[in-house]
Amino acid sequence: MLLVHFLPMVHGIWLSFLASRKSNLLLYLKAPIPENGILGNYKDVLLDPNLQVGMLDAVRNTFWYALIVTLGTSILGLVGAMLLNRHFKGRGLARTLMLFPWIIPTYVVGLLWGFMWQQDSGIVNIVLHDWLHLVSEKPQWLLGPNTLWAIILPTIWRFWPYSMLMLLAGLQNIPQDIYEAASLDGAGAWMKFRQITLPLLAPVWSVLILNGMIFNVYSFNIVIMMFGNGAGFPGKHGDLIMTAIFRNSFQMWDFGHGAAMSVILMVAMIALVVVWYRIFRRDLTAT
Amino acid sequence: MSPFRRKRLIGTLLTALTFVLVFANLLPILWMIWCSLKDNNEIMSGQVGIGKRRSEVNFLASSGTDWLVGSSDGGIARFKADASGMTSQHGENFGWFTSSWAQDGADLWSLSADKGLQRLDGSLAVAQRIDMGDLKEAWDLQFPKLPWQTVWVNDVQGTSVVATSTKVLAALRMEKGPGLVELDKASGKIRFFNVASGIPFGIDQVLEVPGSQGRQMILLGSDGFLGWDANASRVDIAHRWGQNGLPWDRPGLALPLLDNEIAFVQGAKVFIHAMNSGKKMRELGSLEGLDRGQILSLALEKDRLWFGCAQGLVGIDRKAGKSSDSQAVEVKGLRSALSLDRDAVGSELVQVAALDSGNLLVGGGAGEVVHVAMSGGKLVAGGQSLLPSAHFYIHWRNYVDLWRNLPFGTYLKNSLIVCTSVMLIAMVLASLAGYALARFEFGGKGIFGYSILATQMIPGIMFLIPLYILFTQVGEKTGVSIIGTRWGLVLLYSAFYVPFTIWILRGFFAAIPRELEEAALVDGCTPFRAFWSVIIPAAMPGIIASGIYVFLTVWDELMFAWLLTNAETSTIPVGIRLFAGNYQNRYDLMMAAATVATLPVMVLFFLMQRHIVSGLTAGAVKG
Repeated sequence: MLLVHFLPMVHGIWLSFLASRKSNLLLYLKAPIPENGILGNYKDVLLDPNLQVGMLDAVRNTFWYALIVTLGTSILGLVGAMLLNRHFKGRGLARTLMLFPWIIPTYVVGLLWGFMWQQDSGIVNIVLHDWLHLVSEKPQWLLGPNTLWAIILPTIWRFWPYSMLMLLAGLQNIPQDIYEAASLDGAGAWMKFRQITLPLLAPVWSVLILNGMIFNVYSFNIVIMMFGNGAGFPGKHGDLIMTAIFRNSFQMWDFGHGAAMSVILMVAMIALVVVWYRIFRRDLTAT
Repeated sequence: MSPFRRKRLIGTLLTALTFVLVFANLLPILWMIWCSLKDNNEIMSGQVGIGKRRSEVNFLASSGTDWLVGSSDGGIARFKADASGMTSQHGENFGWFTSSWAQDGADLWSLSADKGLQRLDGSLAVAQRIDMGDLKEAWDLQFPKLPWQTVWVNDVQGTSVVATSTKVLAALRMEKGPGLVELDKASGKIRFFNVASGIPFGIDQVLEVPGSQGRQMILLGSDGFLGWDANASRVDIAHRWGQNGLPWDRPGLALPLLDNEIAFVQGAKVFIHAMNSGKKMRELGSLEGLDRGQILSLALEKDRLWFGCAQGLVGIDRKAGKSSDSQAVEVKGLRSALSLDRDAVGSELVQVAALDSGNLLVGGGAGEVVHVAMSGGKLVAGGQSLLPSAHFYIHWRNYVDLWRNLPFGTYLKNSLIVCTSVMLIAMVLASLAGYALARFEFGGKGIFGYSILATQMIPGIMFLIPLYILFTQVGEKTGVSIIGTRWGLVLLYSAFYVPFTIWILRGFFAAIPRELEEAALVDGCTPFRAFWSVIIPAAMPGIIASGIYVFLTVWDELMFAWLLTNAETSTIPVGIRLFAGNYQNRYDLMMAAATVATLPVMVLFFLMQRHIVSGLTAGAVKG
C-alpha cells in the first residue's frame, strides 16, 4: 500500500526537476533538465508572470475559494443544524431533503450550475433581472471577476449539508443539563450560544475545517465541468490550482510544470495540516 | 402575550423557516429535473415554464372543401374556410416527434418516430397502425444488424412519407444505413431498402414526381439524389452531389417539377436541373424577383412556382428564364399576418401550399396558418388561424434520445463495476487493517498510522502525473495496456481510498469493547473466528457506512477516469463530460444526463440513509 503511494510521489518529485513533455515521454526519467537550470520548473511556476502557467492566479483564487467555501458551509451548516435540533413535525423529512445536494455528484453540480449561470437563458439571470429587477443588465457570470462567485456558491450549496450533519450530531451530543445550569445562572440565549454551544462544538469545527481545506483546495470537478462544457479554461478569475495543474499536465502536456506545481501544493498542504494540528490538538485529544 | 404563547409562535416561525430553507435548497435540483423535461428551444429562449407547444407547420393540403394542416409534432387539424376566415373544426395528435404526412385520397398517412406509420381515415381517426416495432421486425429479417434504436429521433427532418395507389413509401434517417421502407397496401408486407440492398447511398427523404401518378419518386440523401421506380421498386436514376453540375452539397430544399425537372434551393437562389441527366438548366434569383430573403419553402401550382421567403411570398412562372414573363407577386402585410403569436419561437414562414389557382395556404413556424388569395392581380392575406393542437409538452423523449445518442448503458455498467469492486476491496482490506491498527501492537504502528493520514493530504494529481507516465511506459515496453482498462482504474481507486477507509474503521474497531472478543476466545474460538463472528458484526454499521461512502466518492471521480479510460471503459462522469463537449447547446439532453447520473446514488442514499448518517457522524463526534 505504501509502495503504491510513495513510489509515485518520489517519481513525481523527480519529474518536477525535468523538462518532461509529451514529446519526450519515452525518455522517461532521462528527460533533459529545463533550460533555466534544475529548478527551472519552479522558477517558471512561481516567478515568471509572463509564462502562461497561471499558478499565481490559481493560488489566489484557491485561497479565497477555500476560505469562503469553508466559512459559508460552516455558517449555513450551523444555522441548519440549529433549526433541525428542535422537535417539530416533519423533522426527519426536513433533514433528508436538506441532505439532497450533498448526494448530487460534483460533476453534475458543475454542469447544472454552469447551465444556471448562462447569461441569456440561465435561471439565475432570469430571476435577478426579469423577475426581481435587481440588476439593470444581465451580468456575465462565467466571464470576468464574477467567475469566482460562480464557483463558490455551487460549492457551498453542495457541501453545506455535510457540515450541517456533523454539527447536528455535535449539537445532539451536548448534554442538556449544561444549558439548564446556565439558565439557572441567568444566562441569556446569546450567552448560552457563545459560551456553551460554540466551544463544545470545537471537535466538529476541527474536522470541518480540515475537510474544508482538503476538499476545496483539491476541488476539480465543479470548475472543470462548469466552463466550456467540460474542457474549458475557466479564465484567470475562476482557475483553481487543480485545474491549472491538470491543464498544464494533460492539455498542454507539460508534465514538468505540472509536477512542480503538485509538489508545491503538497508541501503547502502538509504545512497547513501541521498548523491545523497545532491549533486543534487539544480538542482532538479532549474527547 | 404570555411567554408560553410567544415561545410557541417562535417555534412555528422557526419550523416555517426550516421548510423555506429546505425548499430553497432543493430548487437547483428541481430545476435540473424540470429542464430535463423541457424542449431545448424553450430553455434557450429563457422560458421558465413548459409552454403550450405549437410546432411548425409541415403539411398543408386541401381535402374537398376543407384544408388539412399538419405540424411536425404530430398535430393535424382540419380547417374550414368561410367568409370570416378560417375556423378549425378538429384537432388531433398522432405522435410526438417529427411527423411527416402524406395524402392518400380521402385518407392520410402519418409517420413519426415514436408512433410509427399510421393511416388516418376521413374523420382523422386511426384506421391502421404499423408501429416502429413492426418495422423493426421487417428490418431484423433483412438486416439483423440494424436495430431500430439507431433511428435518430432528434434529427429526422428528412423523414418523409409518400402514398401511391398501391404502396406507401417512407424514408427514414438513421444512424446507420438510412433507407426506404415500402409498405404494400394490399398485402401489408413491409420491405426495407438501403445500401445493403442495392441503393447506391443512404437516403432520408422521399418526394413524389408530380404528374407521374405515383410511379416515379425522388429519393434524397446527403450523398446525392436518386430516381425510384415505385412499380418495380428499383433505382432508375442516380446522381451524386457535385457531379454533372449538381450542387456540391445537399441543397436545403428540393422539389421535383413537371417535364423531367427538379428544383434545388440554396439560400435565396433556385437551380433547376434535369432529373435524368442532372444537368443544370437555369437558375432563378433576384433578377427573377426572388429578393425577399432566404427561401424557406416552395410549392408547385400548375405552371407557377411559389416561394415562401423569409420576407414574403413570391410566385414565378415555372418556365421563367426560358421566356421572360416572370411574375413576382408580393403579399401585402404577410409578415404581420404571420406574427399572430409574438411570444412563440421562430414565427417564420415555413410551409406554403398551392390549393387552386391563386389560392394559397401559408404555414408558420409557430403553428400559424394564413390563407392567401389572389385578388385583382395582387395577393392578399386573408383568414388566419392557429393550429389547435397546442398542448403542454413534456419531453420524456429526452431520456430516450439520451440513451440512443450516447452509450449510456456502457457508462452505467462501467461505473457500477468499478464502484462496486472498489467498494468491496476497500471494505475487506480496510476491515483487516483497521482491526490490526486498533487492536495489536506492532513495530512501526505509529508510522503506519501517520502515513495513512499523510496519503490523504497528498493531492491526487501528484500520483496521476507519474502514474500516467509510468502506465504509458509499461504499455510501450511490455505491451500490457493499463490505460483504458477497468481493472487499472479499480487498482488505482483502491490504492487511493483504502487508506482513508482504514482510518475511519480504526475508530469503529477501537470502540468495540475488548471484553467481547476475550469472552469469545475464552469460549474456545480461534482468533480468526472471534474476528469473523464477533468483531465484524459489531463493526458492521461502520463497515457499511464507509463502503457506501467509498462508492459515492468513486462515483463522483472524474479526473483519474478521464485520463485512464477509453471509449469502452468510460465511467459516467467521463461520458457526461464528453457528451457536454459534443452537444454544446443541447441543455435539455444535458440535464437529462445529469438527472440520470444522479438517480442511482440518490436511490442508494435513500436506502442506506440511516447507515450513512450514523457512520459519518460517529466518526466526527467520537474523534
